[in-house]
Amino acid sequence: MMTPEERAMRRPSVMRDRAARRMLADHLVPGLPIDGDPPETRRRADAMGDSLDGVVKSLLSVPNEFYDRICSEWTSLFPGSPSKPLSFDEDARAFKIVLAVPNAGAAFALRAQMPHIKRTLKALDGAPRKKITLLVRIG
Amino acid sequence: MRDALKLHPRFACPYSEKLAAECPGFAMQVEPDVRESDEDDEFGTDPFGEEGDGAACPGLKQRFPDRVLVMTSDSCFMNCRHCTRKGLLSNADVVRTDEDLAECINYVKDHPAVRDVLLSGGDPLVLPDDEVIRFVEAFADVPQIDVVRLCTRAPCTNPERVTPELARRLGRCGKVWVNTQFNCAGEVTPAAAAACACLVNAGMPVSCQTVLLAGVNDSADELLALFRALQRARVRPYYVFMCDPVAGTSHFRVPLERAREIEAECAERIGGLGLPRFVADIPGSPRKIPISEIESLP
Repeated sequence: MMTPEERAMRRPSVMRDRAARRMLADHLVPGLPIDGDPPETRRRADAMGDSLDGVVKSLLSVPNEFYDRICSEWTSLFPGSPSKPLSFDEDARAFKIVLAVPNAGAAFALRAQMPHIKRTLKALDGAPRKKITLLVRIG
Repeated sequence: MRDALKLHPRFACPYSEKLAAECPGFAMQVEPDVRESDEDDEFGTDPFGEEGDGAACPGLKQRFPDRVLVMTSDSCFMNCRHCTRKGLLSNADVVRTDEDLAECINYVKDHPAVRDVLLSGGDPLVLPDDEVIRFVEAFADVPQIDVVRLCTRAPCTNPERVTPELARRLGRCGKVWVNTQFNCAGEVTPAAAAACACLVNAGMPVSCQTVLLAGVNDSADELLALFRALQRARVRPYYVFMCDPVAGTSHFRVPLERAREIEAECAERIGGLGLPRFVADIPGSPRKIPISEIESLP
């Protein structure tokens, strides 16, 4: 009597087997892991110059008058808010302000304040014309 | 009230109208309420910043590194009164042309960390079958994509839309997961269960994202009845969301403490497979926050 392994070996490939193999092959991306997890590892190789630029950028503190102002005036602009500005970033579409909150409870409470914070920031003198986006970091 | 209706008109397809007449919990999601015009409501109409400049390219938004949201349509089979995008529907930035779709595909290819594409809207199933399949196949054919999520309320609001032929074609893509929304047990009608069975039998996992709504499902008994009905229909209860911070939904919001009590009671009365995660989606946060983590409000 044949073992399951022997039976499997003797079985000719059927359409379903070929489809399964093709599906696996379809998922292969040169230079990327087969299983794709974790997705953070899915990066195309950066040029050395780009990497150096990134490092230099992360070490330099980019002055921004508007961001400096809201940092200094945050508690008077938003008294009682559980948040405080942590950093900023901007691209062609948006001026992004990262707000730090101490815990998940504070983040939940911040939900109700975010439209007011956005409106107030947008109305300040010197506010960027582009969209203001708030990002939240806990802890 | 007139402002609320202007922003988000009352609309329901014939099936939803019939269901609203039979199921009070569903009717609350269909019928406008005077409290939608509450001027003290502190929330905006676009809590997640999806309007206009929120798009990375036409109709595509990226909030998390491994996922993108693709707006395939700007209408639904009914206008839910608790809709997160009530300020965006009818004039949303959606993928309308082949060029828009090509741009979305190129965006995904340029961001190799993206592995999960959410086809949403509006409801993608308001589109004809061929259009739905065109979207699904376009993203499923990108090798880095593991999951194409079809975010549709059609199994609940218009189950006849889910035909065996459509399910077969979706299932054949091999990467499609369906996320739907049922909010009370009365919504899981035989027709709805048949639509879910159609999708599951075609090889697609079907999950349910419920929204915790005051007056609709804000008790452990009501939610447990829903979770059991979903399991009978082979639908995985996946999330229970706190109502999103969108204007005009103050009457639907359940206090956090009450939500935690409901979650604790549900956890004691149903097994893990039938118990979804109770979470709050916080604009700008890199993850959804389980309400059990929110120990105290400041």
